[in-house]
Amino acid sequence: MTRARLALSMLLAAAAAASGGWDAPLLVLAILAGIVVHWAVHRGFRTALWLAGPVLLFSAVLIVLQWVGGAADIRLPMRTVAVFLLTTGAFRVLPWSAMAGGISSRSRLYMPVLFLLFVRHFAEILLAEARRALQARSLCISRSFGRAAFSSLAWAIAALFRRALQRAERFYAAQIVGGLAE
Amino acid sequence: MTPVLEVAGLSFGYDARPVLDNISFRIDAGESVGLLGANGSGKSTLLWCIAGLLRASGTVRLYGEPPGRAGRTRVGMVFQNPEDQLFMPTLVQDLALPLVNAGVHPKEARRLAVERLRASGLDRQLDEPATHLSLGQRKRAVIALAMMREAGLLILDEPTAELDGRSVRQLTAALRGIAAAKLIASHHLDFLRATVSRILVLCEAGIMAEGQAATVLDDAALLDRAGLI
Repeated sequence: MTRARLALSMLLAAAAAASGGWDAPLLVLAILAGIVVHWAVHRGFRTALWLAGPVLLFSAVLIVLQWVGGAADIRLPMRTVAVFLLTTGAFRVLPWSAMAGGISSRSRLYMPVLFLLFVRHFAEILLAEARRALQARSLCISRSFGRAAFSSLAWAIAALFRRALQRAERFYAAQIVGGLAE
Repeated sequence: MTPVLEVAGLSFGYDARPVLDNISFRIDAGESVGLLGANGSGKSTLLWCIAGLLRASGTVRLYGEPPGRAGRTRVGMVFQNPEDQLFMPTLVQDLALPLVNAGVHPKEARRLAVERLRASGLDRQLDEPATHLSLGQRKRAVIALAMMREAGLLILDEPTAELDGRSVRQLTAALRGIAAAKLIASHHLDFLRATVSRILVLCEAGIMAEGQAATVLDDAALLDRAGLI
């Protein structure tokens, strides 16, 4: 647990330092993200932190592409990671049930809370679909780096996008019928 | 008397491929009608056209009105996957939401939602998220949700999909207790026999047959032609 916390804190600190050092909003974001990581690991939400994997991968690819383009700038990937960690922390901490149950449709908070609940629900759907797609692929692939490994991964991701779109369409239709999405 | 639903000359297609061609039928108040068809026969597409979610040529009238916002408030729709309709932190909040959105005070909306869930046999799951419920319970919850705005017509898309025998029986009992008119798309023959009085058989983009539930379901040759047995 200590190692995971240390590694993530170092990653954040190194990235902040590499960004130029004097970007104040970035440093604040990095410190806040570090606090969220520390809190999450301390509270036993290590599994939740695994969700950061795809975001870290995205950020790494972004840095590589920038480096290939000759203009490596670590601030955008850093902000991506920090914002992800902050919003994940916020989603964990906010009392959704109380917020959703007590707000009247005339309240100013009604639309933002409803919107965040939509986002949370769709993120869960996306995660479940991704898990299913990757499980289905792993059942068909005998070797992780075999001939069909990368093409099957590409097809699994393409299928994931297609399914996510279909689910989004049905979810939206359900909200129209329920009188919420007009 | 104005029918609850009237469909006349409805046609719909994707690109050049017709999915529905010149569909006409009507449903009167309190009537339960089954929409029977094999996979891919266009049942779900027809339901989406009726609810105004897809634009089709022809005429659809809900209580004599086109299926716009006003018409839809008197229709409850149950999608095949309950996850499309249940997303709030607790089940009771899911049911209260349409009322809260219509301007009802949250406390009153919760009271009505609790009442509806108790009537559906889900009183022990009130404050649980829908994800903690079994699929059968979620299907019953979605039906309760669809009835929250006192709908006069309930549209159900494959309500028995992936359900075990006991859940199908519970769902049948729940539907029988609802006085509203129902349009149920399914290829579950025994379920339709137990829940509807009239059946429309959908095949090759059109209505192949229409008649009393028992007559249609006992016609093996017809069911074979429609790809159902």
